[in-house]
Amino acid sequence: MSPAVELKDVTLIFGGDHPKDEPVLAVQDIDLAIPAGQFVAVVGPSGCGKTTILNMLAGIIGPTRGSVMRHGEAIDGPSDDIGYMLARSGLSPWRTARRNVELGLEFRGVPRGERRERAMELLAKLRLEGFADSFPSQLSQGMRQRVAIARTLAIDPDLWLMDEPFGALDAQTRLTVQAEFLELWYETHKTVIFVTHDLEEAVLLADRVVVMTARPGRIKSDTIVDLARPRVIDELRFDPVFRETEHKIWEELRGEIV
Amino acid sequence: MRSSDVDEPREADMADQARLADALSQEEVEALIPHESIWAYRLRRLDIPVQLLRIGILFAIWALWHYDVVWDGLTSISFFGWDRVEVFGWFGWSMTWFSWDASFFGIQPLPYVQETFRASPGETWEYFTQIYHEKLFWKDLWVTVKEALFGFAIGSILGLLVGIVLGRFRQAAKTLGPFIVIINAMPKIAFLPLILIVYGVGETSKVVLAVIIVFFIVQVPTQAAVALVDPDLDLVARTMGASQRQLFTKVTLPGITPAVFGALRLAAVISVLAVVFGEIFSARRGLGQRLITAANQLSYGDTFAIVFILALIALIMNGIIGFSERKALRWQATQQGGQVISL
Ligand SMILES: Nc1ncnc2c1ncn2[C@@H]1O[C@H](COP(=O)(O)OP(=O)(O)OP(=O)(O)O)[C@@H](O)[C@H]1O
Ligand SMILES: [Mg+2]
Repeated sequence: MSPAVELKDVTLIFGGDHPKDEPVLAVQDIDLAIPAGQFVAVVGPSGCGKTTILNMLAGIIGPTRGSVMRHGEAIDGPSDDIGYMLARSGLSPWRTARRNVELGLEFRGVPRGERRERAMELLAKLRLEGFADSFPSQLSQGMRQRVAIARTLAIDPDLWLMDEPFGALDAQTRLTVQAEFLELWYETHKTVIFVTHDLEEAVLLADRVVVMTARPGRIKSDTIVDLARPRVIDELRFDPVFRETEHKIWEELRGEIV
Repeated sequence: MRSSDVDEPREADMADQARLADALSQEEVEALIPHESIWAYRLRRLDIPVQLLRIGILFAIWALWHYDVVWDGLTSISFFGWDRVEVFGWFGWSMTWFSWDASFFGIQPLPYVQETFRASPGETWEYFTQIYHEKLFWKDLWVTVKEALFGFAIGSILGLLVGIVLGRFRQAAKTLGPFIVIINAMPKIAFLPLILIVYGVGETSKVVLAVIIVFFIVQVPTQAAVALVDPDLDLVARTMGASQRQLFTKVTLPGITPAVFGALRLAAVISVLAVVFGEIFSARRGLGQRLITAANQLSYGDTFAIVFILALIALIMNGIIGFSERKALRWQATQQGGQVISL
């Protein structure tokens, strides 16, 4: 069976519009196959092409060379079974938290009552039921991010693309949101590609951590995280296997950052 | 949360907890903050000093008008000294002053207005007391309101449509942009003689003038707003598989609403301006025609009253738009800086 997500020899060059602009080689020769249900974290220095890879998977841009596939079929545009969460929460300021969560369901024409039910269920799981009728401007940063998570998952996507979803959160809030997120994922076991700057987060959450080199982004290492599930992340932090894995990946990453 | 932490606190933790006070209860919190009755709150929101100042300013304007100060103007700038001039005739001061002619490059900014051309607040008010019985006045009012409303509605709808189309389709904007800029640069009022020839002196010509002016007031900001809708929202919607139509109704349209309302408010005032100008220039009926007739008959009290009535029309239109704006943009009131201008 073909993998849920596959990048084959993918190279992407951003060409300037002006003939004199210099083209930017963003990622080069990426080979990555992800089986269904795997939680993959991608780490790498800033500007190495992590967001670019997610954008290709989301069908927003196409590769310059190579192929990007899902279940063996080339991606040729956005698809409504992908949940893509941007680093910025990207909530509509004129929609309440609940209506923001309903957005993707509205696009699919899900009836109002059903939409509402699904949104409230997700908001409750993220402990936001009391803020369903608040507008984004009335929510804290962490709450907005949780609404964005709920919106991404409301359409029950087959593939979750998360671009530094917790990057803007403070350390404590991040801890709770990570735990909530992990729980939501554990219930469904969908394929996740999770981009982060935080190596600890990558190892705590993922089955597998991919380290990318500095631009042009290539795959430097690919490590399986051998930690049992379900995971209790605030305990796992002190686990020797966790420490060891994090240390090993850090050694790989350090070479790229310095 | 690990349950073991809650169930079996270690002894050191217990010692810590013994020193930790319980959270304040709701009653204790309320006892700590100064309480204000609902009436005290309303009084505070009313902002009495501001209201008094407003009344004071209104009274001062009335006094300057009533006692002819505005009409007498300021014809000379004087200092205590050698000459004898009456400044602000109303005060009737007759001391010895030194004075210069108060003109700048030969222009007097506040000239003396002859008695014949003056209108007192009393005369202005008189007009209001008379019009109630005058059928023709109401007919004129209706003509002007109708023209302004049609001009506003047609101009706004066209401006909105063209603004949205040009905002969304870059090729169209690129092709048509220069023509719109050139036409917009023309003083639209200069088209009036031509409009009168083509559409006649009736009501249509005033509507056409208002439509042309209002169109650009709405089209330009609408087009700019479409281009400025948060690209993140667009990206999010596209990755969730929104169709072009859904992108438009659920991202673009709500995204441009604040800017559109701002433009509509301005358009409402300008549509009244346009039709009145058209009527003053040439018309059969309408308040503009009534205004210029009164002015020609030296009934300046009447002209003042008509100006107030026209302002009232524009204010009511503006108020209706403001009301729907507050309804539609409830979310914006929760944001700082999103305040709606109101009285
Ligand atoms: N639209 C674009 N046009 C031109 N160059 C681009 C564009 N988007 C990204 N790039 C370039 O491609 C490279 C990779 O960008 P990308 O956003 O994928 O990095 P990233 O790994 O997500 O970085 P970060 O961790 O900082 O978010 C960058 O060097 C950037 O300069
Ligand atoms: Mg990025």
